Amino acid sequence: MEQQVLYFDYQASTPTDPRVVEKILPWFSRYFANPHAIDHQPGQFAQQAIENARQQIAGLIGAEPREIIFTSGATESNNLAILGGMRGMGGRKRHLITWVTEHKCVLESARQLEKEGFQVTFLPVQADGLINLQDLKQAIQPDTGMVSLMMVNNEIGVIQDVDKIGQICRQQGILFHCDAAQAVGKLEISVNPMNMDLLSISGHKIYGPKGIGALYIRHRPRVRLQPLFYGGGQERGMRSGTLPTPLCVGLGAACEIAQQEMKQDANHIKSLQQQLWRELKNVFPSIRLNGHEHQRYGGNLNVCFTHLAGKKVLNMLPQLAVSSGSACSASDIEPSYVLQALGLPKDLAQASIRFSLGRFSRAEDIQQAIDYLKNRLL
Amino acid sequence: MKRIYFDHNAMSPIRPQALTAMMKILAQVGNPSSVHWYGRKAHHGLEEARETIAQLFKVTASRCLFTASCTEANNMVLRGSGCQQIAISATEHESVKAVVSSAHVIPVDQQGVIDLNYLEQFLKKQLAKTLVSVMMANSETGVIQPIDDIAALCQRFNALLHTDATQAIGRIPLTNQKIDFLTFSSHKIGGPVGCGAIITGSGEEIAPLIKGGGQERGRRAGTENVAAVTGFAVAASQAFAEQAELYIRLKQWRDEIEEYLLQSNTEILIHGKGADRIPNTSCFSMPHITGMQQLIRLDLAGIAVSSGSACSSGKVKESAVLKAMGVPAAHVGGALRLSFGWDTTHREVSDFISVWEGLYPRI
Repeated sequence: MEQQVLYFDYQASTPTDPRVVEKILPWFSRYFANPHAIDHQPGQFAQQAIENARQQIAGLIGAEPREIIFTSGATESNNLAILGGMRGMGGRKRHLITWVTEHKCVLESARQLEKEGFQVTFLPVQADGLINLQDLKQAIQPDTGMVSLMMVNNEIGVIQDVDKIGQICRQQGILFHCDAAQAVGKLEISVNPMNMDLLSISGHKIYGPKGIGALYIRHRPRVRLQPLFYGGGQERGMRSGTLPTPLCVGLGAACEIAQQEMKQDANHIKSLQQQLWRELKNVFPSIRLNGHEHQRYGGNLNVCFTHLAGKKVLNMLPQLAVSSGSACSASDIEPSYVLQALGLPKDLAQASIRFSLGRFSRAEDIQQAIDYLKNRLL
Repeated sequence: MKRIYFDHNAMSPIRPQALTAMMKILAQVGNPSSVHWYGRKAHHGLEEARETIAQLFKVTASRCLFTASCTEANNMVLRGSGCQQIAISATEHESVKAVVSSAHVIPVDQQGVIDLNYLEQFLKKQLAKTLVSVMMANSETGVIQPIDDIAALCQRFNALLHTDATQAIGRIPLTNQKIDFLTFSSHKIGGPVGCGAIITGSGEEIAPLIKGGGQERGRRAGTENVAAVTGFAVAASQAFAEQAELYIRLKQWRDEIEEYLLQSNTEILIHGKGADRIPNTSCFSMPHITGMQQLIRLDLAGIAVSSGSACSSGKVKESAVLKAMGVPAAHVGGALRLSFGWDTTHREVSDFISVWEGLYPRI
């Protein structure tokens, strides 16, 4: 069964790179000590491993190690950045700007802020999924504290012009939070020239383990956050709880591999994506691409089988691991809110599928997938 | 000499079976929220682990909620129980103590045991719904709290009860009393680090701290760490299964060390010795010798022990637990904690004694 189901869902979760698994293992078994128990050598050893991982993560995004804190994943990072960032402003700034196509955890954090009396502007996106800079400029108020925008959309793969947003935010003295869960390790990111103040990273979207993520927090000028939870004061008080050394090591290793192999991965993935798109257009002449045609991440193809409007195409493809929305909401039957935000009617949103490719995707899988799609959808 | 690891209350080494189960999952792809085959497989693994742990606590699976740590679990309960008033014991872990600044602190006696009369008087006066949070066993001293009595008081006054059972699981039998929220951690029982759980014994709801994709029935967002919870479930099953046998063994070895220490130096004070303690923990101090000095000497001799709770660390702080117990100032700074676990051997115990004898000759 496993052999027959082809994996095209790298944006939901990547397999852990075998090289990462290898790096993780000894930190579970041989060097298991609590990294905060620096009263003894085993603890100090674990602590050093964590600091090394912090450096690897920082290196990938042009940050300093002390600007990286570990979390349990990008969802927690996004919550901490948005809730912690806004709550930490001491009531001076009470307005957040974000977009309707953000990940659920960003939108839910924003809604939580509304319940706490903050004001949130949810801006729309264009039909191609890209944001409109004029919308942003008009939405900025004197008390705008933060702008939160993802770099690569998880469903449609469009790449937002975060450079521009960073500039605007910096000029206006507004914090810029970037959910880069889908972008880190895939696109060049450098937090300083890009004027990012907060940036969220996920482990299991970059061939690292699940259960680990990171948040970049700018040190100069210093960004202050209110923690989501309290306790032993780990991560400079911003995130209490024993750090899972093996998972931190895994995320660090994944970042290092990504840094070394980013170009190679990108070329590999892009050529497969082009092959897939070419073949899809051949077989299904009425197929449509969701999201901007060029300004997109090479590993994503979100397509609409227009001849099947109104049908839940996902359910017709049990042998393909693809998705029809983000994984968290995938269990819902509701058509994707992201696609609907692009103006796609429900029947076309339902007939849309996201293929996402990655480091271990192969050309023969694509051929096999096309044959299968021919059988099922023609 | 082989290293001696007596710091299980900070972190237990992972059990081989838990490691094997976890590593198998770690290499597998699939987001448990995805509807395809890989996603369903991951989801199945997640729910199987939940079922296993729920059964240990004799609750339905929906009453077991996974978090990334017990710190997070404790924060969730204290902030999300919906109670307006919160009472905690004076010797709680930081992840309980630091959460709600308005929490009322219930004192403990010299043995570290909560003052039940005080708690009763306190509960009598409360008009608003109250949450009582008392750890089952203390991480620094190993002192066991009378959780049955506390539970009975809570029931009488219609208060909710939370217990941080991190240091009790696998070391003492569980109570049969109703506990509304029980939290514990994977890495203290030989499971993988990066995972904790909340058992909502009475089905009380908890408001989420982390919001997003609606995982964990809307109570804790974020892609689930399937590998870790799988290992967690294996470790929990083993910890429950071997608890009775381990209790006898570890208690004997702990007593052996304490007997030796008391004989070797009459000034040694063993904290909480007069109370019920979990069998694996011994916390003691000698006057005029700082914990730091001892730690360095022991560390050089290859012995890993601690001076208290391994948290923010870097600095050896005076123990708030010992202070709350009224331990004399000369003793508070010099406390050492030994904590054993599932893989502790008697050789480690005798090696410890001979190293100690070399460092601190009898006086």
